[in-house]
Amino acid sequence: MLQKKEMTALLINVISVKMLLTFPRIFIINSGNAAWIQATYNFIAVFLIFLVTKMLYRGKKNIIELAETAGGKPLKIVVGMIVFALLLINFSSIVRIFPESVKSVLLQDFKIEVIVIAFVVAIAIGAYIGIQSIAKINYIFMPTAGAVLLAFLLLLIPYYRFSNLMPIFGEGYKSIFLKGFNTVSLFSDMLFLNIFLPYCENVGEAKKSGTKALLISALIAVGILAAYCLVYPYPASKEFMIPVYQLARIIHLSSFFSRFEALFQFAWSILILLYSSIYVYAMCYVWQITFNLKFYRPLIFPIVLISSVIAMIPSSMLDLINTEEIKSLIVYPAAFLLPIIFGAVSRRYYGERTRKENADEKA
Amino acid sequence: MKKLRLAAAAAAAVFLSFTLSGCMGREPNEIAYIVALGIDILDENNYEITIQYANPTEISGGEEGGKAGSAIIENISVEAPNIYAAVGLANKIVSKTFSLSHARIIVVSKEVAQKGLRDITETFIRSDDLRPDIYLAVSADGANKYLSSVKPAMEVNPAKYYQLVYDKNTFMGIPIGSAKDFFFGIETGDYDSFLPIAGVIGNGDEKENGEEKTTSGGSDSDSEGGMSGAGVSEEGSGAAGENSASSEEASTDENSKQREAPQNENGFEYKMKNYIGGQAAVELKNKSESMGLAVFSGDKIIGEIGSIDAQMFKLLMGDYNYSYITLYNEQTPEEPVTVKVIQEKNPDYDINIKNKTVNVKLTMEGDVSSLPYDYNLENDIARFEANSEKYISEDCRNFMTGFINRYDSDIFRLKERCKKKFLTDVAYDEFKKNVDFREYDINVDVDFSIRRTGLVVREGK
Repeated sequence: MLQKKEMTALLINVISVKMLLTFPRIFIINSGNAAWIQATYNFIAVFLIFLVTKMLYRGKKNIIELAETAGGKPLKIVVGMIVFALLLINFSSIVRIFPESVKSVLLQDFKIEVIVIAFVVAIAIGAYIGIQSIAKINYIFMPTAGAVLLAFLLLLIPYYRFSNLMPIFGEGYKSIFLKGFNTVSLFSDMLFLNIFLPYCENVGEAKKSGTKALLISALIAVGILAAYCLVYPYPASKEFMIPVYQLARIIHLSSFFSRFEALFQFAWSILILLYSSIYVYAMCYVWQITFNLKFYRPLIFPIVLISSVIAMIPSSMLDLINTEEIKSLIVYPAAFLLPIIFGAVSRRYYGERTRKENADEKA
Repeated sequence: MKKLRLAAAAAAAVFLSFTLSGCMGREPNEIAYIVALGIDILDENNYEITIQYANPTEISGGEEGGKAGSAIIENISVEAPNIYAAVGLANKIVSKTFSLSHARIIVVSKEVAQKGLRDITETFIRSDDLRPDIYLAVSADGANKYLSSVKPAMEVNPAKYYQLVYDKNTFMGIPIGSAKDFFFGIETGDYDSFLPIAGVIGNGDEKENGEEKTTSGGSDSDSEGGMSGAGVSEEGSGAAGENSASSEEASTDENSKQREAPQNENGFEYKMKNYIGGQAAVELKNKSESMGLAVFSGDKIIGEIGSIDAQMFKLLMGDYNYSYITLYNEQTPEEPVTVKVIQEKNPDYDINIKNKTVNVKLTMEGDVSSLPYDYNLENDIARFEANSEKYISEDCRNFMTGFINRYDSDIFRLKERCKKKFLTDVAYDEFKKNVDFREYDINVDVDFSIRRTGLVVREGK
C-alpha cells in the first residue's frame, strides 16, 4: 500500500522529470518565450479534465480492471495493451535521451552502449525491489530535489531579464492556445494515479494526491519555463537541447559559486533513475494484471530489453527529438480519455454494487 | 536467498569501491588547462590560434607555493581552421591533454572581428567545455601579441588574472563582454554587442606620424582613441579638435600610443584622456591592458570607443556601479572637481515610437573627493549640481546621438527596450526590421545631487 504523500511524490516525479530533459524545448518552439503562459494554460485544461475524471470515478479499481468488469477479458487485454504501449512510447524516449545527455555533458569518453547498459541495469534493480520501496525512496529524495530546484531558481535571479518575457504573447495567441493544447501531454503521466489506484488506501486519498501532485507539478513546470525564458531571449532559447541544464551552466556567482551543474546533475540523475524504475515497474504491473500473472519480476528483463531496443531505433538524437512531439500527440488523448471513459464505467459498476449491497441488506 | 542477497550486496560494494574512487578517464595531472585562446587571421581559411595554458608546476599549489608573471603560463600557436582543430593539433605537441573547461577568455584580432564572429560563437555555444560566461575581447595589436604580453605580475593563478581584469566593472573598468550576451545579440537581433579592447602597452611600432595602420575591410576605427572625439565633435564642443595641444606637451617618457589618446575638454571627465586598450602608459612588466570598447553590428566590428565613452556607455546602460568622475567647474576652469559618482537607480528609458523620441533619465549621486584648495564648493553646491547635470546630460546625449548616427549600431539596446510595446513576436520582428534610430530625437535628462562632501565641511571660507 502506498501512503498519500508517497503517491503525491511519485506523481510529481513522473510528471516533472520530463521538464528536466528536452520537453521544455517543445513549449519554446511552439510559443516562444510565452512558453510559461502555455504551461499555465495546459495546467488549467488538465485540471478541468482531472476534475471531470474525479467526479466520475468511483471505487479503487484501475482502468484495466474496470475494462474486465465492463467487457470481459478481451476488453481487458485491449485496454491493458493500449496502456502498456503508451507507457512504452513514453519510456523508450527516456531510455535514449538520458544516456545520450549523460554522454554529452558528463561521461564524454564513455561509449553510449556502456552508459545505456549501466542505466537499464540500475532501473531494473529499482523495479525489482518493488513499487513500495521505490515510492519510499522517491519520497525521501523529493525534498532534496526540491531544495536543489529552489536554490537553482534563486541563484538565477541575477540573470533574469524581464524584457526577455516580452512580447508577452510570444509567437501569438493561436500558437499558445490552439497548437499549444498538445503540450497537455506533459501531464499525461497522471495516468499513473489510475494504474496504481489499487495501491492507494482509498479513492478519496488518491484524488487528493492527484490534485496536490498536479498543482505542484504545474508550479515546477511554469517555474522552470519562466526561469528559462527570463534568462534566455527568444529565438536563442529554442536552440538548446536541455534547457534546464543550460540554466545550471549559466550560474556563476563570483569565483565562490560556479559550476552549479554538478549539483544539478546529481539530483537530475537520481530523479531520472527513480522515474525510470517507476515506469518499468508500472509496465510490468500492467502486463501482470492484464494477463493475470502471479509474479511481475520475470517480466523486468524482457521489458527493459524491449524498451532499450525501441530506444535505439532513432539513428541520432536529432531524430529522437523530432519524434518526441509526435509521440506526445499519440500519448495524451488516450492517457486522458481512458480514465474518463472508465470513470463512467466505474460509476455504473459502483452504482450497481451499491444497489446490490442495499438489496442484500434489505433482504 | 539471504546468502545470495548478502553476496550481491558485497559484490556491489566491491564494484562501487573500485569505480567511484577514480576520475573515470584522465587524471588531473594528465590535463593541461587552457586559460586563454587567441585567434588571428592567417589566410582565407586558416587562423593562427594561440593556446595559453596554465603551467601547473608554477602556479599556486605547486611545490614551491606558486610564482607569478610569465612563469605561470605557456603559449603555443598552431595553424587551424577552428578552436577544436587547434586544440587537437596542440595535443600532439605537448605531453598532457588540453582541456577548455577552465578557459576564461577568447581574444580575437581586429581582422577576425571584421570577418565576423558568428563561427566562433557557434563553437562555444555548442561546446560543453567552454563556459557560456567566457569573456570575449578584441585586440587591435593581434591576439597572439596580446596573449604573449600577458605577464600577471600579481597573480599566481592565470585564470584568476583574466577574471579580475575583465570582471572589474568599477573605476576605469569596462562593461563585461561575456560570450553568452554576444551570442544572444547575434541570435535574437534585439541589440548589437560590444567587446572590451585588449591592447599591448608600447606597441606603437606600426604607427607612424599618428596614423593608424589600415586593416582589411575598411574598419571605421578612430586612431585618436575612439568614439568620443568623433561623436562629440558633431554636436558637442569638439573634443577631437581640442585634444592635441596638451598631448604634445606630454612628457617624453610616455609611450607613443599614449600621446595619440585624445584629451577630453568637455565637462564630463574634464582633462581626462580617452584611452583604448594599449594606449595608457604603465611602467609594469605586464604590458597587457584592457580599455575602451569595440562595437559591433551583428557579428562584425564597426568601430572602437575610448574609456571615457565607455564610462558614459556604462551610465546609459545602468551598469555604472560607482566610480570617480572628473567634472569641469566654471569657478575653477583650470582645475577640475573629482566626484565619486554612484548610480543608485537604473536609467529610465521612455521610447515613443510614434513621435520618434528617446528620453533617458539618469539618476546619480556623488561624494566630493577632490577639489582645488582655495575653492569652497559647499557654498556653491546648487550651482555645481546644476552645471554637472548639464555637462553629463549634454555629453551623454552627444555621445549617444553621435554614436547612433555614425554607426547605426544598437549597443544601447533600444530595440530590446521597445519589446514591451508589442504583443507578439511577429509585430516586434516587423518593428525591428524597419526601425531606424537615427531618425529619433534623443534626450538625456540627469538628476545629480551631491550627498556627501567627504570628511570635511567648509563654510564661509
